[in-house]
Amino acid sequence: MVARIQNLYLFLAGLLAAGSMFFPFWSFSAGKIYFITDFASFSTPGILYVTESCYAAGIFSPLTAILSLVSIFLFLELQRRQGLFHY
Amino acid sequence: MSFSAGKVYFITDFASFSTQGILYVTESCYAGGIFSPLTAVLSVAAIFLFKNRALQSKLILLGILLFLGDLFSGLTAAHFLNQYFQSIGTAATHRPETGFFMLLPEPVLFMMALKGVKKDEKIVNAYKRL
Repeated sequence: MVARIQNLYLFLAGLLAAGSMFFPFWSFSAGKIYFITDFASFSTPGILYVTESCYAAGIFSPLTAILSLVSIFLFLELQRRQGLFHY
Repeated sequence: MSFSAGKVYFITDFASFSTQGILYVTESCYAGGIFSPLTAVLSVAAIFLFKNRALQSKLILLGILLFLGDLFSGLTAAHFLNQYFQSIGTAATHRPETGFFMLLPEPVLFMMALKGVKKDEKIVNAYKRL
């Protein structure tokens, strides 16, 4: 009985169904919402490092994307490709 | 990541909205609150019905129906709460939360379980033929 794969699937489904009871399904916000995105700017006084962090994320995200794409085309130079991943 | 500076309304199982003009939101939340534990109980019960694979298959199909009921009751609640905010002229932003995403893998798991049960049925029938 225990060694059937469907038991695991059913147990997981039950766990998710029971777990979903304790988490909100949907949320509505009637106030102002602040989003943290790449290059977002927060000019309110007292907000420290938020804009800087958003700009840093805005630099890291495209860099990661470019690096991943570049490494695809370096399939002939395996050693350099492995070196790129270390960054 | 987002931060909200205003009031946040959550649609959860058994959530109650008593403001006038909100239609069917509380009812849908209560329906969701019934469907969720029923799905959980049914899934666990189906595990122990391994000797009766026909009934196990039926329970899994019922589980998929309960999942659909759970999903639609939540979506109905969200729809009517959205309509309410629009009718009173409040600009409210809304988005799905963890509970919604936790429900989504359920039908996949049920379908895979059903496939497993059918595979077992085939093996047993092959042995019977021998």
